Amino acid sequence: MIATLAGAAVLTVPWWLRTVRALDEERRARIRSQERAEIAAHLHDSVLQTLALIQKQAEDTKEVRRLARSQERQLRGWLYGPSGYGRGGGGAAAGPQGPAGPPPAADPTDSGSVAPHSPVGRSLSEVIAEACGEVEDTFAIKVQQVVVGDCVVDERIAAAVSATREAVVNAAKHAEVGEVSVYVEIEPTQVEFFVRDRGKGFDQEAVPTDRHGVADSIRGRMERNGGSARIRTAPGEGTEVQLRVPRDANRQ
Amino acid sequence: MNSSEQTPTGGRDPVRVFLVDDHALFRTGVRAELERAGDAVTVVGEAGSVAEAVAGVAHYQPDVVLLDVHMPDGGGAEVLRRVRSTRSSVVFLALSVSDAAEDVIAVIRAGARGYVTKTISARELVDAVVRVRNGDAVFSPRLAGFVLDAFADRPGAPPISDPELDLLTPREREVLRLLARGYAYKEIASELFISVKTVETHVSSVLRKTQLSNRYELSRWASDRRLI
Repeated sequence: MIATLAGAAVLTVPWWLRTVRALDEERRARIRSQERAEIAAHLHDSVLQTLALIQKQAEDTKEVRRLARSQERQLRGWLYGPSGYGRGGGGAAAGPQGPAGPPPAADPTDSGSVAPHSPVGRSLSEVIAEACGEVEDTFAIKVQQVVVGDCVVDERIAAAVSATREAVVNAAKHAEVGEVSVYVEIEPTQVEFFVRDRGKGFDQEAVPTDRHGVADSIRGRMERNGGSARIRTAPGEGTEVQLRVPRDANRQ
Repeated sequence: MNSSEQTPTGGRDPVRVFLVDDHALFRTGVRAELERAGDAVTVVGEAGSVAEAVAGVAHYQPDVVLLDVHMPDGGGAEVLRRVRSTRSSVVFLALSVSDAAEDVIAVIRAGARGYVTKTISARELVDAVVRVRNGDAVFSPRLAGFVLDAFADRPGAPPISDPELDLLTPREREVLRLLARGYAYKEIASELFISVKTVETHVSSVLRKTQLSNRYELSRWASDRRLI
C-alpha cells in the first residue's frame, strides 16, 4: 500500500514540476503586463498632457519653454532619480506625476520663503534639484545644476539651501542672463554651494540699503547658521555667490 | 593631432561631422543648427542605429562623430566598441539628454573624448566639436560632476591599486570643480593663473584616468547600469 502511494507520488513528479513552472511563468507575465500598464499610465499623465498643453500655447514661446523644461525635469526624475524607474525602483515609488502644470502659486517676489514642506531629513541632491526647478519655472531661465556627493539635510543645510535659492533668484531677476550655474559639493565636514552667472554683475558698495536680498537672505542666513557667504562680482563681470556650511559632526 | 588627411592640423578646413542618434527629428535639428552656425563644421552624414553608424563612419571617415548615449542595440558605447579598433583617427563626442552617471561614464570609458548635453547652444556645440577634433577633451559641468563623484574618497572606499590612475591630483580636482561651477577654460585659466593650454592638459589627463582607472566606483557603475 505504502509502496503504491510512493510510486504514485514519484510518477506525478513531472506533472507537479510542469504545473509549478506554468504558474511561475503566468505570474511573471502578469508582473510584466502590470509594469507596462504603469509606464503607459505614467506617460499619459505626464508627457502626453504636457504635449497637449504645449500645442495649445504654441504662440507663447516663454510658456512653451517653461512647460518643456518642467516636463523634462519630471521625466528625468522618474527615469534616473534616486527612486526612479531606471534605478530599479520599478517606478512604483515615484508614482505618476501630473503634467507640467501652472507655475507655483507662490508670489515670485517672495523668493526667500521656504518650501511648504520642510526639506529637513530629505536628500540634499533632491532638495537642490527641486529648488532649482522652482526658480526655472517661476522665472523661465535655465538653471544648470551639478551636485557631487549627497547627505541628509539638517536645519543648517536647509538654511543654506534657502540662501542658494535666493542667490539663484537674484541672478534670474537682475543678471539679465538666460542661464545660471549651481554647483554643490558635499564633503565630510562641510557643504559648499556656488551660484554663478555671466550677467551684468554689480558694484557691491553701491547696493541700495533697501535691497535686503543679499545682506539678510544670504549673508545673515548663513552666519546665523554657523556658515559663511562670499560674493564675487563687479559691473560687467558676472556674479558668483559662494556659500559654506559645516556639517554636523554627530551625524553622517 | 587627430585630424585626417582632409583637415591638416591647424588648417581652416571645416570639421567633418557625422551624426548618430536614433531620433530623426533630433538629427535634423542638430544638422540645421550646425549648418546655421557657420563654416567651422560640415555635416557629412548621419545614422539612426548602431549598425548604420558603424557602416557610415567607415564610409565617410568623418573627423568627429556626435554620438547619442542611448540607442537600441547597445547605444553609443557599442558603436565605439565596434568602430574604434579599426578607425582610431575618428574622435567621438557624446551628446545626450541622459542624466544617469553610469551611462555617461560607460561611453567615456568606451573611448568618447567628451560629453555635452543636448540643451547646449549651437555656438558651444561647434566649439566643442572643434576642440575634440584638435585632440582636447570636452567636459560639460555635468560630466565634471560625475567624474568628481567617481573619484571621491568616500568612507569605506576600497584601497587605491594604481595611484597614477586611481587618484586625481589636487590641481585636476580644482580644474574639475571650476568646470562643474560653470567656468569656461579661459575663465579657469585666469582663475588659477595658468594658461588655457595647461587647463586642456589637466582635462585630458582626467579623461585618461576616467577611461583607464579601475576604481571600484567606476566598475560598479559599469556593472550596475540598467537601461530600459
